[in-house]
Amino acid sequence: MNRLQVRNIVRLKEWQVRSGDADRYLVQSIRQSGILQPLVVLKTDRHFLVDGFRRIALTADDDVVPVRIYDQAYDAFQASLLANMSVDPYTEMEKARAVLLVRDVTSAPEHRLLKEIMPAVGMRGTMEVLSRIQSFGNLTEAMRTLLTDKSAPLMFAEQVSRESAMDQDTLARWCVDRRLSLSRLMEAFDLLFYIRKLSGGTIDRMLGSLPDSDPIPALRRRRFPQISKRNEQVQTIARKHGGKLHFPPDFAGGAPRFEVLIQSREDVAEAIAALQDIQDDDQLFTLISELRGDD
Amino acid sequence: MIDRIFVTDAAHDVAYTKQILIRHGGEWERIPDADWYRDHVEPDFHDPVGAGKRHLLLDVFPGSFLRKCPGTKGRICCNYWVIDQTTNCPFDCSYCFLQNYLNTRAIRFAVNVDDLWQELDNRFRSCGPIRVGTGELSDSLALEPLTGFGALLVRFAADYPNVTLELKTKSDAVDGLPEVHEMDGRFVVGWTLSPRRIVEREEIHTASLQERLDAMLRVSEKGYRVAVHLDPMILFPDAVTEYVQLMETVLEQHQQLAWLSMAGFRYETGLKRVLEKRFPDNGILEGEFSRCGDGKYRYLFSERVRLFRAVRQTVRRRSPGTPVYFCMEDRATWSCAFGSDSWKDELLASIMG
Repeated sequence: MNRLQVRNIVRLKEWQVRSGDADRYLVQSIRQSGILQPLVVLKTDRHFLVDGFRRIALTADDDVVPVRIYDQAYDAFQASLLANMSVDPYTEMEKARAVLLVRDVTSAPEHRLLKEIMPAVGMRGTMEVLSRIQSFGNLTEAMRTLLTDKSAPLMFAEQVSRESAMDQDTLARWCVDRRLSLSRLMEAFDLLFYIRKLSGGTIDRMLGSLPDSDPIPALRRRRFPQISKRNEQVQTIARKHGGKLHFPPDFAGGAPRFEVLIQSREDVAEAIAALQDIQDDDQLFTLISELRGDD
Repeated sequence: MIDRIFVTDAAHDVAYTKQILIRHGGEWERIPDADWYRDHVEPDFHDPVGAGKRHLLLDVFPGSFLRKCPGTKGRICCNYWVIDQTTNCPFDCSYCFLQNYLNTRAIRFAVNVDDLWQELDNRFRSCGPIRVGTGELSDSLALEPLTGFGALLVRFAADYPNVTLELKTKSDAVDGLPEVHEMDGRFVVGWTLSPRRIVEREEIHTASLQERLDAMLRVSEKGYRVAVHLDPMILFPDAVTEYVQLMETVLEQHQQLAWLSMAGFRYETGLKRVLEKRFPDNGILEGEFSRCGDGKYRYLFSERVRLFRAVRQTVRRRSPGTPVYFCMEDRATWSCAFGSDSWKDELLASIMG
């Protein structure tokens, strides 16, 4: 076991896989006992930190910390990956970042990435997955940060990476401004993709035209105008009849169900009156006809 | 179409393997088993799905070949049995569910046909009339020039008068099939058809629409009945007109079909992702879809029903004796499109069981 003074360890920000600060348990542990798990360091002309960025941030320059020193970059990075995966596995985005880091810093050939590095982070060592990882490199900084912070699946990152840099930045900014969750971002992206495909226009203009309130319903209405119209018609009718009519979710068959809770004779009388209203509702039967595809 | 052939250890000494390799005439590769293909060949490709469609894996299949078509929960099913001797297909249709379904990406072809014949014999001798087909997880005739399997199966089934056999395809490879006159119409070749624009845009490497129509005529002359499967039906502007015109064209050539089945395009989330990635210019996901009770996404109910009704009306008018049925649709669709209890129609008795 070696030890080094913190001031003598060079930290390159671009070598840090995980973003954000250490969690409170780690902070507490280090405050109480110092760094116990050795940092991983690469020795060339100087000592470069490979693993332990968040831990070292909790130390002072004069502190002396345990380190494992490697003189081969590949070995250092591989050790770092294995150590992290055994303690606190990477998210998919972090895995992608880690693999690309190894590729870029060590110039590891493809077969080593496939056979050693990707399995080390729990990924299948296939060209298909490697392509997906490489698409991570096509993300803009803003989008990469956003998706990493949200622990987005790599498949989604791959989809987004096909957009232009400008559109990615626009989307990232919009998502942050609107404080969208990952699931809503993913839905919004899917909707925007098809809206743009069908009607042209730019992402920027489309986002700019959305209301200040929840943007997803507006996007759904644009993407699915027919379905949205049907939904509105159905909701209007259902409200009119006090929630007693229930249409199937996909309008299959077009026919609503009439449901009431019977707890007393008065409930029955009420139900009979409600059915009479329904019978007299021409709008309802026109809608049912349309839902059934009757012209 | 096939640029690599793999032969597992188990398949190596099987006579049928040798016949196929002789027909192929090119190089082939011996591998321990299908797992080896998955572990050592698939990882090399950016698009293992696409690559697998050019790889033929000759193997011995240890399990059962014959099963009832599983259908989907909540849907009305016809009484169809499927033979899983081949899985996967060299055609590359954008909408194909196999892209997101199969574990092994190569086309797996079972060469232990003696086991298959034994199993089929056991089943066919002990049951009454049975309607059976290949082509659920593959195309029945896509590899026919190389394997001749369709012809073998027809010759085998000829000895069982209770069996109606269907070969389902998007190819035109019918010229190697034997004649089946005097077989009481028990042999059917079923074509999946789509309007020309769909064939050209979404059904890559398949026979063109005209080639399929020509093949339908040629196979009729050999005594086969012809069936049509409109599956999946894709909605686009003028879809109703084009599907109706398609059926008019078919029925000009064939007074009566063995059957016509219809099903609207449906997908699960996983298929959508694969489709978007492999076919970024596809047009089929541009429609409006809603999530149905079985978890699949389908077109708006009323739009599907209009399309189905229009096609059925055309068929009823031109060929009243042609049974028309749905694959994987629920009672509501049957009722709205065809009428209440329409699945119990006498014309469908031999199909619905």
